[in-house]
Amino acid sequence: MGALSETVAAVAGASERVETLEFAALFRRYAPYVARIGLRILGRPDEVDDLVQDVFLNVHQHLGELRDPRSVKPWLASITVRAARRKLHKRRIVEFFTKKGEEPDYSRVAAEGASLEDRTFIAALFRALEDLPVSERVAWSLRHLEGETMERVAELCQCSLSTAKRRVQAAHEGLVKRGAIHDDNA
Amino acid sequence: MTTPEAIERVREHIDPRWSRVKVERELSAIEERLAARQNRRFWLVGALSVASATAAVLLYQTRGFENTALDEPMPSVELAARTPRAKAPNNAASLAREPGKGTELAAAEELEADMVFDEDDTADEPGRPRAKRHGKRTRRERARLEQTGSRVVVAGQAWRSLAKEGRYHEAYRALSEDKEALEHTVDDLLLAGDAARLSGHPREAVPYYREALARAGNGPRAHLAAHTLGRTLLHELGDGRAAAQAFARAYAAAPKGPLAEEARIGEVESYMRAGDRAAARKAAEAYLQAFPNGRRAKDFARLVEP
Repeated sequence: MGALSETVAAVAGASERVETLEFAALFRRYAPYVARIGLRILGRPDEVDDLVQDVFLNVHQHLGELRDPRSVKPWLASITVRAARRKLHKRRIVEFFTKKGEEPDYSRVAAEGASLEDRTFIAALFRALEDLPVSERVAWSLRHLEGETMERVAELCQCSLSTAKRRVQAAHEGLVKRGAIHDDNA
Repeated sequence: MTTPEAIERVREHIDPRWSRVKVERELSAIEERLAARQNRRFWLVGALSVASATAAVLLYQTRGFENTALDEPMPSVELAARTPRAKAPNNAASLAREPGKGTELAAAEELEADMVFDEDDTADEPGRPRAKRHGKRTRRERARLEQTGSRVVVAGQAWRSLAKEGRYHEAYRALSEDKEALEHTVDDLLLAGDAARLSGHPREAVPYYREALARAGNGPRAHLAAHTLGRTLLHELGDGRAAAQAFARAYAAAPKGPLAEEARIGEVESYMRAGDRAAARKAAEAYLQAFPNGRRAKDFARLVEP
């Protein structure tokens, strides 16, 4: 991490000016990473900006507590996953109480340059993920879209390893049932 | 290609890819928010006090929150003296509002009563804000009633009311228990299909949608029935071929309608799901002809490239 790690480590007890400078550096370096995790969990490009803002407002508040610069990235990931889960729960509540309107355009999840096949596959995937319980969806997304190890998935989901495995498996079965993916074990 | 390989391949495309410009813009926005937050702290204590007092008042006033279902137009019922249980409140709305007090129907009980309907001139429509009541009309008629939870409704209406409230699981269950309650109109069939689909029974929704489409004929609801059928077949059941036919029908029913572009897009995606690249290409060509500047024009142009 080089210069960044040293200055981040110096934040605790540092002057406001240093904190401000360091927050900006932190944001510039890690905002794209947070945005990526956010999109992979939420599946809605128009919610990502808000999520990043929420995460970094939280980061700003607790930056002084960060002691080990090596833990910046996992720390950010934890905050992001928690914020994304809250958004997903809120989305469920809002959609439960309001009449379902037009379906979101899941084809927009895929970045520019994705082939039509990939875009269609991604859209089908996120459409199916929308129906899964939040806990299963988050665990599966972290494991398969973000490529985290199961141990790390358990940490980020704040559950045991066996629970994390169960959620990922349940999500997999749900996606197979909805035709979004194939059952390779069949 | 296995599923893990497919996901591995597409993973890189699930990335918002923030540019430097985007990062700087977001950083400015967050710095503004932080500055604004500093200014707001001063007012926080006073605001909290006011908010607490307001919350206490609202909580007291909305104790009957669980009865907001009664905001919907529903019949108020005068129980005729001759009915066996006509003990106390004359109004079914009151009856539902105060379960346990006065007359209360046993579960699924029916009784005959003279009915006074309060009707709103502007009925609720899905997707539109709830209409305000003005100009009530009343009529007196005889009807069988049934109780669903704390609500009293005209017999057979329960599933419909539940579905319109978004309580799809209960609506589906009510309809399953009383299939006679279904009136085979296009609207009823679409609503029944929605209750099935949105309660997690997409396969059971298909016959309702198919019948709705058949009954709609060339009428104004045909495109909606076909489109909903197509979406269910494609997105819930993965039946690309059947979905493509439904979307084609949706487009044919209303080529200039509000769902026309979506229908054409659905057709392309359905053929792709079915693995029929030639048909997908043909459908993409049709889309580009109808919507040369449409929202998927860029994507589908790649499909038809020689």
